[in-house]
Amino acid sequence: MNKIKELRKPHFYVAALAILLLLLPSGLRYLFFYRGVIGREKTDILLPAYSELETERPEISPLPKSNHPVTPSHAEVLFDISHGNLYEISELDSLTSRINHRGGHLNVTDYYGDLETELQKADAFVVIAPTMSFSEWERRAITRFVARGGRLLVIADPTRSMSDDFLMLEDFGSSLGNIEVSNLLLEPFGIAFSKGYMYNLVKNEGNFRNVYFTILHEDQISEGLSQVVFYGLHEIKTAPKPLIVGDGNTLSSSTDLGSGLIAAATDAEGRVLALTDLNFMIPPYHQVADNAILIDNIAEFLSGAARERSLADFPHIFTRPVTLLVDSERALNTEMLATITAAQHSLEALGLDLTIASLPTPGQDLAAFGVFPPDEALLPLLKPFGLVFSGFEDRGEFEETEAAQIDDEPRAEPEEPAVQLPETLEELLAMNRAELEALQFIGPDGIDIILSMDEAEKQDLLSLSEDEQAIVMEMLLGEYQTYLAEEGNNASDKTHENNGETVTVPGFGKINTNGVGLILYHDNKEQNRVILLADTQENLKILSSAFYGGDLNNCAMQGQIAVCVLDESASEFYWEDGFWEDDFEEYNELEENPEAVG
Amino acid sequence: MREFLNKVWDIKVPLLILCVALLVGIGISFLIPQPVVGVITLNDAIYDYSAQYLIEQIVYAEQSPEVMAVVLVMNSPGGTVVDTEAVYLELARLRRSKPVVTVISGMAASGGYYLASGTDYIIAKPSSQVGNIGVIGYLPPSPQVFEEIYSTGPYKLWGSPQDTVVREIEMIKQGFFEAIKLGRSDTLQMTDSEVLRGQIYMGSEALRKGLVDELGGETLAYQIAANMARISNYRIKDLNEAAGLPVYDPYAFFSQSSDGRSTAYPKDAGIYLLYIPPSER
Repeated sequence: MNKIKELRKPHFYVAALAILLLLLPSGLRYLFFYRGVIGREKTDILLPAYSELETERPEISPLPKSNHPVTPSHAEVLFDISHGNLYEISELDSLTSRINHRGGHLNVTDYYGDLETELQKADAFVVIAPTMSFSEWERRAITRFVARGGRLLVIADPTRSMSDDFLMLEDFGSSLGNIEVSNLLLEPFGIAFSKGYMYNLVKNEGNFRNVYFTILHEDQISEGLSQVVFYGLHEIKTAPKPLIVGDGNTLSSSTDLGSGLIAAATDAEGRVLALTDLNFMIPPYHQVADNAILIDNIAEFLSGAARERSLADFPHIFTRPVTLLVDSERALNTEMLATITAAQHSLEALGLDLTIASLPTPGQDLAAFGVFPPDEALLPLLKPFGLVFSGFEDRGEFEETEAAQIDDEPRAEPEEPAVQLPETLEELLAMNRAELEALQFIGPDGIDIILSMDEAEKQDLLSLSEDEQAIVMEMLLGEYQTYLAEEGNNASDKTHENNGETVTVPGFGKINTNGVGLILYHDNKEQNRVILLADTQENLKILSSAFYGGDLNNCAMQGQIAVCVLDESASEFYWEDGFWEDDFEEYNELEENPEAVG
Repeated sequence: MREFLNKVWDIKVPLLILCVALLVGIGISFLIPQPVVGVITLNDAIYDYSAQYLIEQIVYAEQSPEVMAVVLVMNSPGGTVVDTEAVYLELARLRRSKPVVTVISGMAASGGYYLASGTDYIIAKPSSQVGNIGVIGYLPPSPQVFEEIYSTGPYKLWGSPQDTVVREIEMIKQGFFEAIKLGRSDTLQMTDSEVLRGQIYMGSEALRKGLVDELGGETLAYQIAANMARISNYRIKDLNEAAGLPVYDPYAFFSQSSDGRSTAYPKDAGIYLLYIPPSER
């Protein structure tokens, strides 16, 4: 009770009030600054589980055994290194080793070489990340190469897009991205790369640009594959035959859309293969998924078999040592010896041996030659070409065989020329334009000269002496016309008038044999054969010299047959003009003893 | 008279006591500090030098009772992986006791956004650049040997095989991605694939995507930070100054072109959480 009374005393209230006043400012200040509890209640902050993060690595599969039976193909695979190509051959060990395994040979282009000539020897051509454009001439050569059975592999890789070799650009002009260069090359085959790249953010091999592919269309290239990975790749926007295709999650950087994007494709014939990545061939990625099988298939595509040769591949139409077929019953004359010598020198330059024999040698290629009409030894060899000879009955040495048939048609009379050749300068100057144009051996220049003369000029010419007039005639009509004028009076079979002896060549029709040679080529796995035929021994020498010397400019080629116009000018370059031989000897002297010259 | 004096005394003493109590109370109340919203400014790439500045300010904020909230004013294209992670972890530690709000002034790209995602609230300006989630890395050269340099292993000179670096880049990306998902799980309006595209967005688009919480400026950031810390009448304090650090002077992180201009490329090869503008590539 006393305590209760004590509480009711005034000083108790004072004390209580004092405490209140003591705390009030703090309370007010606290409420002024803080609307709740001072400080934040400690909360747990979730952090990424860094310790559980791992580097995921793909399973490296052992190199598989080849799906393809290995029979040495001796195919030559030519790698382009002449167009600013952003790769090194050593990067392609996984591919080149498989090519070597098949007995294929590797070669690289020569920067200063002629691509068309190099392709004649090759069976497959590989173009990787080119940054310098191919000339129109080179592109045509590649198109022809493929048309003749050659295989073409073009790889455009987004990680090897643009050359940064400014020195090279300064020296050699413009440089393009590998897409532009590759697309120009592939345009004839209906294939085009897109500049964008493919990616997959949902399922990838360690990075969004490393894309898995499981949609594989049936083909030699995709044989045995279930999944491949490309490591940074373009897409192919148009292709006749897609081979490797992305799924719905594989998108294009160009549109960020996807579904059905093409990573590898061929042309309609399957001779041109376009790939969008190079890195999948490079270790360690060449052993991820089925990449090694894909590389093996590409090696098979490139070097599985040597392509069939055609005359357009001349002079690389022989792939084995050559047997030159010579009739043992006939004595070799100087013309034939010259022909054989020309053949031997030419083949030596290609690294091929020439053996002379009267019968074909198994395992060797074959060369033969003869004059129209072919003798019995040649007839079996001519069988595949379906030639028909007519007009040779008068010679009494030609009989109809299975290989070459005699046409029963009566011997054609030589046709009269539509316009008589002028014999004098006066006759020539009197001709009008139509008559002059009918003289096919006068070119436009000659016609123009005559038509531009006024009467006074013509009279001046006619007032010249006979010899001088002959010189003017020669000038106006040209050398060939002069030749005809000289030879025209002789009724020998060496003139270019129609003597009625013809050969019908499939694709060419009936051809008068005078001044004409045939080059016939037959390609098969056992033996490549070349047969040269001409109207005379002299022309056979010319034809042989031109053929083995590498000049078929005077020949019209179609398939495996070439028809050549033969005249003296064709042989001069190689045999009668000593310029080249002299020049060569001089060069050798200079090489052996530089001080002796000059 | 005596009685009167006694009565007066009886009144004065209690009044005096009460006045003294009030004065003492007022004095004691000043022991309660005025709350501070600390401001940390990042106006550079994130690398060892800038990261050290950031970490010291974060530690100061954590240890200072008056700093009740922190606003990170961000204008950064990102930077090195290790320094970004270091700052990120320090921010996470600070956030346990104090809210942190990011306001993106110019750019919060790559590693910059990594840090932003590790704060409680992100504010951007309508045209701020936000995102670029991902990693870039320079691969080391392929191993080779030199005539005059000897090393004791194939990777002593090169660090790692190229493929290992590729995998490491992917691993770092996973960590980044996880940080984004943890930090933005409630607001993110993007699929995983969209996040991993690495796209950079304008602030207004970033808001729609859930990469930021609101559009606004620094003042809004202070208010939100204060609200989160449940404080009012706060002071704003530059923590660089408060922590006694010298004035920040950017160090040479980026390489320089031949004309002396600073490029957007780091001068050293490595792996980065960095945005490099297209014009620089």
